[in-house]
Amino acid sequence: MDYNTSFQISASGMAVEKLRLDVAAANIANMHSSAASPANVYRPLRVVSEEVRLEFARQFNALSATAGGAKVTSVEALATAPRMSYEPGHPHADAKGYVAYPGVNHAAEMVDVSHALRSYEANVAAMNAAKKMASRALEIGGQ
Amino acid sequence: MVSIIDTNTISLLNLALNATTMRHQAIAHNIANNGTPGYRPIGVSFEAQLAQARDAMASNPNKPLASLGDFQPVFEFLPPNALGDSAVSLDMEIAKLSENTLHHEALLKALNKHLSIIGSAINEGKR
Amino acid sequence: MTIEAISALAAQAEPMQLQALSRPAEAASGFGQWFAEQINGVNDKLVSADQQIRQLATGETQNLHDVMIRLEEARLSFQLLMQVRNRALEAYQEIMRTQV
Repeated sequence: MDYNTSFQISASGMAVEKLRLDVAAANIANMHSSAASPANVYRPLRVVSEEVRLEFARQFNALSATAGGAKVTSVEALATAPRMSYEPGHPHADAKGYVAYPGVNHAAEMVDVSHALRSYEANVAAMNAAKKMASRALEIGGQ
Repeated sequence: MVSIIDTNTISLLNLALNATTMRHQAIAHNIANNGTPGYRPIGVSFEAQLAQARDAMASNPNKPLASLGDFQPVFEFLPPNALGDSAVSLDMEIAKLSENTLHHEALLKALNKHLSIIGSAINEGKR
Repeated sequence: MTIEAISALAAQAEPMQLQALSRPAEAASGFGQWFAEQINGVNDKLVSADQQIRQLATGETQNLHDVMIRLEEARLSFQLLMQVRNRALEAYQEIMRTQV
């Protein structure tokens, strides 16, 4: 059903943005998670998404999409260098007194959060519009 | 049998509704792929073809109205904007979404009124 | 003058009567044929509307507004057919009621 397709497209977009939001939230939550050695420190994650190509079906001389939207291909850890901070008394301090923290860019993560939120709301708006169009179509011939 | 009262209006409205539905799918697809790198936004072209048909009819009135099946809405890649940027602009997509939804509802309303007029004519004003 | 007028009328009335007798046969086939065609058309519309409903029930529909439009068209066509039938029936009964 064509309205089903519209819902699926928006739903897939919402799923991708929700994952982006979750990943950004995880990055921010682990901002201050130090580790004993720089090799074990938390690496910030990124969501890699790709397009699900819009497939068409021809029925009764009309094109209609049967698939589409976006999907997540992978969640990858970025190889950012850990942030070293001089704290000699810290349990995880190394020989020189430096503690390794994840190289999470706070500002960038906040921007990602708001971007994901905006995109999520846009997808919700698209789904609401599709729902409204479908319910109006059902009223054809009513009066 | 209703076709003796109504000529092409209902078919034309049906076609226009197909176009707005497809346009919604294109916009939803663009919005869903907002963050996908290297994504090319898509759109639907339909009104341009109708304008072409109207001009062709105006210039050559004797030519019969070709079957409406010739004017099908098609998906197409949108051209880049004035800055040469072809990424998805979320604000523009939302604006297009509102416009398209309103157009769709307007078409449905027009269809309903048209059908109710025909219904009144058939039933002599009774429902 | 009146007698001439009446005879003139009588002379005119006969050929008209003959024509009137031959035309109903034509008109009946003309109207009857047209009506039969319309019945077939309405039947096709109803069948297609039925198919659309079935597709809707099984979830195969690609086009929701298309289904609704066809359903409404089938309904209106059927109503128009009923009205034409009613009028034709009334006309027939009117003629049958005519005092000879």
